[in-house]
Amino acid sequence: MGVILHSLAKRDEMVAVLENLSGKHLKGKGRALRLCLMALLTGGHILLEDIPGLGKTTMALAFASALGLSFGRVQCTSDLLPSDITGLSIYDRNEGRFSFVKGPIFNNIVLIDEINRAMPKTQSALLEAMEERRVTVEGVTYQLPDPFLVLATQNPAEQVGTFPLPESQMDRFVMRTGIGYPPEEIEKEILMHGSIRDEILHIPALVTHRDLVEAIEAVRHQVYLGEKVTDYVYAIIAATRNHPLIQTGISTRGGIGLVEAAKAAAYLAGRPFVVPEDVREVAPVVCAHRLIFRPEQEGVDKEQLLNALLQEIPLPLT
Amino acid sequence: MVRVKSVLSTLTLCVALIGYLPLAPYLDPLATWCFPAGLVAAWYQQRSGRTLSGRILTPASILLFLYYASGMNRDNLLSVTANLLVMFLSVRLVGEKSGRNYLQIFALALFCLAASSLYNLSALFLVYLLALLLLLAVSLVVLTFHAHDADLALEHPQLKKVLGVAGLMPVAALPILLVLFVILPRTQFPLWDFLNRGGGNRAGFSDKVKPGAAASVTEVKAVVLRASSPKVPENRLYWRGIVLNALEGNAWVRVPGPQERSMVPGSAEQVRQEIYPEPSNSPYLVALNIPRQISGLRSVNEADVVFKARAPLDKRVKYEAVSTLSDLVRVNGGIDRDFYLGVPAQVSPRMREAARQLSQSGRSDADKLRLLERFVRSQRISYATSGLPVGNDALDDFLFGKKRGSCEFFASSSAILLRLAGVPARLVGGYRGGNYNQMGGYYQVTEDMAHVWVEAYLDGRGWVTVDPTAWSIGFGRQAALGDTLRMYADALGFYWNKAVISYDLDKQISLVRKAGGAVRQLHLPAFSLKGTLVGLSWLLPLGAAVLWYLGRSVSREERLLRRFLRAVARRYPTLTVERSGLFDLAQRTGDPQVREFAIIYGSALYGDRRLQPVELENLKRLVRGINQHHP
Repeated sequence: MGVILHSLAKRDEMVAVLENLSGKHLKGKGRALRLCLMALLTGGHILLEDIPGLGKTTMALAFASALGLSFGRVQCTSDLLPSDITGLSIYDRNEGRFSFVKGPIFNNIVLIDEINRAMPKTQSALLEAMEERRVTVEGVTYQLPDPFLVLATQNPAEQVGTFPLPESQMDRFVMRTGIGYPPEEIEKEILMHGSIRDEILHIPALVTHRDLVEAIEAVRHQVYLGEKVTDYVYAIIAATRNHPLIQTGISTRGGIGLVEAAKAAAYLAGRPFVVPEDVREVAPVVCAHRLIFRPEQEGVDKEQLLNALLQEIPLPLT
Repeated sequence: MVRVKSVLSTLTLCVALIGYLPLAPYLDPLATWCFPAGLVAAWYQQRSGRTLSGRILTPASILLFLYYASGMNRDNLLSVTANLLVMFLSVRLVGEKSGRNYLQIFALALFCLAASSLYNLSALFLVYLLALLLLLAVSLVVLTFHAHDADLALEHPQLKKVLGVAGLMPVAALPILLVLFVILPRTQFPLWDFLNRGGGNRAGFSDKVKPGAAASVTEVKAVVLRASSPKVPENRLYWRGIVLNALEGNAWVRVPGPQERSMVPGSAEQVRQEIYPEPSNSPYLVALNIPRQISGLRSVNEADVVFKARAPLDKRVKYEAVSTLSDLVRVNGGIDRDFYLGVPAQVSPRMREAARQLSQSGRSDADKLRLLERFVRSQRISYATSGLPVGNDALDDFLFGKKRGSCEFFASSSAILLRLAGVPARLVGGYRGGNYNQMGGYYQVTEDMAHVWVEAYLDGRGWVTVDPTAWSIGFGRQAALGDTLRMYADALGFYWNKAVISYDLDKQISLVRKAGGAVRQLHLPAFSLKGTLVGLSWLLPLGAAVLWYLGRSVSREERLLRRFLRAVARRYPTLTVERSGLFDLAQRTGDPQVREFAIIYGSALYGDRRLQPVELENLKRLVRGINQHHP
């Protein structure tokens, strides 16, 4: 290649995981996997918005096993209680005292299925745990494991008996994306070979826990964000705030999310500096769900509008 | 570093000067000289940093005001105001200057310019106005900087930016100007003309010719009319205005003449003119001799081919005329000979003798006319406009004594001699000559071209045009060597009057239509090749200088990037290079060289550091490499 870049810690390992997963087990889910990894590296969470049966759970499982991380899963229903997620204290007759039984949230990767079916109380308990990375039950605070990634899913088609996440809560997710149907060839292959759920359970860990922590550190400290790119990020944020169709543009938290996601993208691309293309790549998934349209404009597609906005803003080249 | 204060001072001096210049010709000597003195003083103060205190200037202003106000009356209101404005402006210039004082100077300059429009509303006013507006906009912007911090200093590029943006503002207002131009009513006069005493007595020629009334004729260069017309031979340039048919004492006047059925033959060359007279009190419509028809204005065609407007021509009007370039007016049914044979009560014996000789040796009227010409030529009289004979016997003195005179003498004496010899004659007043403006395609006739000639009635022919002045020694109008600049300026003024002052919407619409047609049939005049070459030889170095100047401000990184983008666009023609990032391009082309360029260039650009010399070399090599791939 002729150019030697400063090597980024554990970058090759991370890319290897992605290539391995999307090449072998999860064909056609490369983009979603990449985004999940980016979310993990930035320490954020991801919201998958798609119809059931496209392999969200499979992907989350495979992702967890390949990274050697523990996996927990919560299927949300309208009677799901906060303690069903966080865990609760149970009286132990042998020891004669209450002991805390950890809920599914005490895992590195937690799949929250159909988060919009849970009642608001449960939702907010969950989101609080996501934000704080700890759980307080009966006065005792328990630290959640590190790394910690919540993969929440939401079914956009079904609206009966659901509690859609308000935009303010959506803001907590660093990204929102769909998975989409796999390409024709791959889907046919899947149809021929059937579900690969069993196979996935036996994927060996490709990286160690330590590698992951180092990679997260590298994204945070080794990737440089220059002035030009900061200006570009700001231009995007400002454009959403001044757009006539948009009531509330991207918050500062959204901006931070955009920068962090761009850093993760730069890290995966093997660059120790963020370029505007990184920002442009992640902007739709990071920003779209944070936009609140004016009441009369609610039908507009958020990602499309954002892409149109991005087209308008020139990349800084000099 | 440039101090904002000095920029502001310079701008202020310019603003004040633009306020003063258009008003300068109309000022008292005191005000005329005070202002330049104030300007120089202000410039000196700006250099030395000293100012005069308000304790001296305020009483001085009050004294000036009292001085001018004491001489004020209803008639000179405007001139007093104008003088005061300029005096105040001068005083303000030498005083100390805070933000408020600058604003006062701007306002005074604007008032001065406005006052000048009360005197004269020529195209030059527009130039001054635009210049002042531009300067004011820039000055006001600079003033806000000054108000923020009086000792502020700006870098050259910053200053350039500020001035550039400030300059753009009035330019951006131009569309509004155009809209206002269409909507707003406009005046044909200098505004508030009534404030000027005695305006408008600018009769191009008098309706009374009395040779011997004054020793000299002042030649005024003021424009009387402009006539769009094709070019006419120099010896045919007689503009007919009035016919003086009777004598009243020693003066030729116009009295209601006898009815006669004049007819201008249509056989000779016809010339169509579009005439724009300057406003005047005279009702006579001037056109090339001999006008057949005048339209576009309500007028009366009197029996002796004189066209008189029904309304006074005291505003800007336009009329069309068709003239026959002949020297003959036929009269059907003859004329009242007695009417045209009246002579003054007092005619000198020498003139009577001369007339007697004419009538004795001349068998016919035409013969007598020929003899008259011989007689006048033999007297060897020179054409002059000064040192003219005066008094009751002026004509006698003219013919036999001083032997010098103006056209009035020639025409008047010749007509009287003809009448004495029994040939009906009358005087025709108008203009002789005209400066042809090649650019505008029109004749410009000025006051000093006023002329009088004779029409003699020859039996069987009619009224024949005779110009006795042509028999003089030294007559022959100096060929108007109109210097080019003046010609251009006059053309500008002409179009200003045509398009702005006497504007109406229909005309404007038809102008646009015509412009469309003209563009379609556009052909360059023959001389334009040379002109274009000369123009290009000036413009090319200028353009090169501008390009060099613009190019200088581009950093080497930027140049390199442009070269890179051009190279990529050439190598991958299907790719849209615009609006895509470097790494974008690298990914889409899959070209390792493009990728390498993106990484080196991007690491510097997005890593907030400058390119190292080695990297620059590398990048240049890469661009060359991308270029070489091109088949």
